[in-house]
Amino acid sequence: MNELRMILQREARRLMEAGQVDVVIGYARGPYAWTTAPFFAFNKNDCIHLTVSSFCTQNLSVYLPKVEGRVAIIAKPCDVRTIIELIQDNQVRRENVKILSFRCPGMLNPKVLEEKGVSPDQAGTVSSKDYPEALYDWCRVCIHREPPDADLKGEPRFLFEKTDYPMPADPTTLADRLEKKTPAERLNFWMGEFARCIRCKACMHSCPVYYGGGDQFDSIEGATGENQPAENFKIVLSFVHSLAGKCTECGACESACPVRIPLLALHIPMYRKMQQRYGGYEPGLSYDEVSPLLKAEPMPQIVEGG
Amino acid sequence: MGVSERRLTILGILCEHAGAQAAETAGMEGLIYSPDVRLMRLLCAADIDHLLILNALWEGVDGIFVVGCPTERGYFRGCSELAQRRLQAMKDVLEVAGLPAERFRTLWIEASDGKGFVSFVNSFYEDIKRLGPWNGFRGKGE
Repeated sequence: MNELRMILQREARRLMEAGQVDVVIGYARGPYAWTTAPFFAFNKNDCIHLTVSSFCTQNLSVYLPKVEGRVAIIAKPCDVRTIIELIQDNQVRRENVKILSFRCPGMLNPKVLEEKGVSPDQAGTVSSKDYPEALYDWCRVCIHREPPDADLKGEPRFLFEKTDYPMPADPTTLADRLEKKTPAERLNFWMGEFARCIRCKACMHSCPVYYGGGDQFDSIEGATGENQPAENFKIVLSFVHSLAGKCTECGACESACPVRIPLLALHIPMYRKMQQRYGGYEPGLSYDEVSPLLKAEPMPQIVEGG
Repeated sequence: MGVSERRLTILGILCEHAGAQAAETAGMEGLIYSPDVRLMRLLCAADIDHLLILNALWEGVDGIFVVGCPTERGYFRGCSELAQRRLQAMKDVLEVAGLPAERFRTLWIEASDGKGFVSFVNSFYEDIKRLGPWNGFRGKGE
């Protein structure tokens, strides 16, 4: 990860010096151990603070529609896919964005690392090469480790380096385990999880392709109301349905959740269902292919009733 | 039906140009379906807010059905196809969440097909009767 950080810093500095961009959006060291925070570099000297590690779980493309001018952005491959979604939806113009991406080793869960006795001092260097079992659920099932589009032309060697990042021995995720349960057990599980929800809507604000922002739910009975878990579950199901055919499984919503509700266990099965139904469609891989939910064509097979 | 047993509530969401017309046709033909079915009409089946369906389920509606235009003959261009895709995704969300997806059903029908409408409603009503009442989440909060 150290080498990657140097390359991205150098590229960001080069773009700044050449006057090709006004701002570089990237990650810097966060306030707490293991964390990274979004960082906006407005001049070339700021670029020294840019970093990239195995804990960059935020999706920075959420800032793109809000930033004016020419932007360079450091993005993981899943973030690049959301940028492509944004460009398809006319939220962002491709010529204003320079995408600095890389071959992603996957993001790691600090909790698992701490259990294995890794100290937070190693946060800058540790990667899934050493601890594949610490990968987050959505990185376990990810098969798109290379960005579908990138501007980091200077260093193709690193970008498409065929490093073999090992997958964990046990690739099952919470989504798979829930799928085997009965519907009643699943509902019970989710009710237990959403009893913790504080309705901060961080999941919705952290998602680049969810345009609702969650403010439309302010009128629903408050988070302390009588039916709190069910009401919280309802607004999140609305969120999940809005993202059908758009979610790229970047995991920003789950990592933004202050009470760690495993939201990707809702998104991953939806992603798979959309993929099965619409001929292996995966969002954000090309500029031409639009979401199947926006296509006015007959369904591949119409499921009547049931 | 016993005294303690409550009547079923079934919500029918009809598109104005096919579903509601089919219901009108059924009425003109004198066809009968259960009075527990309450109908509401919207401009288009593709315009259904997902919160409408979720709210109904949460409030304890026992069954929800949507009736819209037939495939490739929608009143608006492509409205039936879009609605089918969106509502199928809604059904998937309910399945993933562990909610009773079998209580939600769709029908794509011609405006003149009153008979088809009534037979669909009757078979759906029988299925819901077999499933029993669904109480939603009223009073289940902690």
